[in-house]
Amino acid sequence: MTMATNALAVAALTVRLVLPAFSDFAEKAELDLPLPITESRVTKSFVSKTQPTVMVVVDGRHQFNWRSWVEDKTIGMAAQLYVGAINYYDNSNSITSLPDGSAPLISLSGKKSLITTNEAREIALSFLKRADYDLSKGRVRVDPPRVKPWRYTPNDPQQRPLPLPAFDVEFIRAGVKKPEWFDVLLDVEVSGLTKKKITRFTSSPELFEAVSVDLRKFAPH
Amino acid sequence: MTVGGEEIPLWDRWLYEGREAYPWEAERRPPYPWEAPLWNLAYGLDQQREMTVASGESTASSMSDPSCVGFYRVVRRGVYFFNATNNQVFSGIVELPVEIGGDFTSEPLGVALAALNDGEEDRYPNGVRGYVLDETNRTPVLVWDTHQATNGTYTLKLEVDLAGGAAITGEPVTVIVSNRIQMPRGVPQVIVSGLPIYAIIDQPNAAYTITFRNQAGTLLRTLTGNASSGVIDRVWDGLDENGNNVLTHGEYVDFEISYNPVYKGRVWVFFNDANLNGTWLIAYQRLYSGVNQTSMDNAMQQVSTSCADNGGLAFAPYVRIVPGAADWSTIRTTLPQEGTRNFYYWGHGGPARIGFGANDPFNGIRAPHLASLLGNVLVTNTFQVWHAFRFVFLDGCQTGTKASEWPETFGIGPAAETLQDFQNRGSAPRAFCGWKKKIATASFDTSRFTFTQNFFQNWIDNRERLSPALAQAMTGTIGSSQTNNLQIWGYPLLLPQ
Repeated sequence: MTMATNALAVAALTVRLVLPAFSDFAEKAELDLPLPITESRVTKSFVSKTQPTVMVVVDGRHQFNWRSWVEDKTIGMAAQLYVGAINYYDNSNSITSLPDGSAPLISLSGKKSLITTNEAREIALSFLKRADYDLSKGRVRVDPPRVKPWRYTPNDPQQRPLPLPAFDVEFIRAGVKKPEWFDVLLDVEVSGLTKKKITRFTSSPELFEAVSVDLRKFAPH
Repeated sequence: MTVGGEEIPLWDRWLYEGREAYPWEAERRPPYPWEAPLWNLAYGLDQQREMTVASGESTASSMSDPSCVGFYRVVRRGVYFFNATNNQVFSGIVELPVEIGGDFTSEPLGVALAALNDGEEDRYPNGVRGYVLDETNRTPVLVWDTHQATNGTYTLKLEVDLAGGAAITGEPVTVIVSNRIQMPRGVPQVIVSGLPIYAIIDQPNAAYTITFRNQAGTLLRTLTGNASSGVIDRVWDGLDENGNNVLTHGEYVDFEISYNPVYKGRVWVFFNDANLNGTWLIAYQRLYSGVNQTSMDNAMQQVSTSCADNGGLAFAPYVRIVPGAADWSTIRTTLPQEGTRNFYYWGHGGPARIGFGANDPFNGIRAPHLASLLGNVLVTNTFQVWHAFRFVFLDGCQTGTKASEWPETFGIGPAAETLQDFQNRGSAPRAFCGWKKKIATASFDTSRFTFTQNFFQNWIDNRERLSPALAQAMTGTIGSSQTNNLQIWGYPLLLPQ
């Protein structure tokens, strides 16, 4: 059944509706937060009135973004809203969340990674497997992941860049030699401070079918 | 301006106006910080001439005298120096008035020295500042601090950059530079924490004194020593004798190297702006007729609301650009305000201009002019950033092509960069977005501004990182197939403030 307007359809998305999916994601990503996620621990949220998106910050740190990414022509289909993709940011530990020159970033530069690049790749792939993400279902093919260690350059230009205990595991569009921003189709940031922690996960709409989850499977029977 | 009832093209109009007024009688602009030393010198020369005239003394009749340029101006075709001839010897700081004439198919934007492109880099002179042409700057004068070129022979070749990327070049002129004190590593325009001084003098072991004074003329520090094999190589750490930091953000420091003769310079203090997020300027044109303009206004209102929560608005709520000069003037004056660090523009675009569209062909902003206003300029092959933006999205045709001058105009390097790249330069991460191709359509399509709405909501309200926020904003005819036409330079994972 087609709903009358996009706004009405989008209004069906609520924080409460998507929290079970975030809990499921957190469990499979082995995030260090108590599960399940309850509404009382949501410290910030944003529910769009014009797009099928919900943003939730849990415990002031763990940010989850839900997107029922659908084409305009089908956005009115209420059922589609139950299928969406999740992005995740650890706002306290993801390198992309730490202000430049901030104390946490500087302190990280003195810490040794407990994992290698190969182990970072394994952690990312293990998460994808646990989450039942199947990249072969995406609209585009991806190459095997590449792993980029993060580095930090202190203010003193004479000093060599210091490795940070973090890695980006990137899945690039197949066959692209010099990838641009839109060629990075899936990105997993893995912390080297533990042997399992994922601090960021984003995916492109082009891999929507590969990483999307259905909210209805979390509905009480 | 019209002649015989016909509107005169802009450049021709300048020529007409050039005959009616002596260029040097035009109102002098207040100096931008980075050009103050050389501007003051040029201004001082002019004042000196005026005083000479007032005293009743005769002035030398020379083509190099700027006052004569208006009297004897004969418009030739091409680009020429007035006062530089082969084998002429130059010392100190010199002015090089330039004559431009001819029927150009597109508008001249600026004058600079052309690359020689012959592998003879040693003959390319350092220390020559380019000149931006616009309605108020119509008589180009290149100012050359010849100290910044080591003594020797140089080739000066003029180049006039035209709108659309074309250029015309002049005949090369070979000149000789001879100074007793040379600054071959140049003089920075802007300093953050200290000032390196590297000079070559003509006395191998001469005692020297370097003084640093603030804007009030107060002596900040004195460095003394003896040259070593004719080289003075010192770094002032920005501290006074007692170890106190005496640099003040936004103010200048005058330095003087003296042994006999002296070299004077001025640098501006500009601290690392890593934490300077700043306010937003939102500006858009209504380009299409026959559509629901209210929807467009509503979209921009939503964008402004998001931005107001994300650093505030430099001009509230937005600039709705209508034909005429007034709104562009607002943009030109708002962007250089200290706190303005984010800019979103929707409208006609190009690699070096925004505006100047079919709906209003005479109004807009050119990249070189704005770069000059912001102080983000190319100086002796080094890019100086005086006013870097945190985020700029020029949502118009071809603003993100390889030839685009826009990213550097806003102090953002035209390359995909990592956090580390920014850290290496001691600056905070930034990003520029523009389109690689023409994105205009014959008929209005609401997805154009729906995309904008979605993006700002994704990025600011949903706090996605920049690239996912953009990718997920694509919708309708601007949908995912257009994603690869959107260029991100700078840091693609930039967070909102």
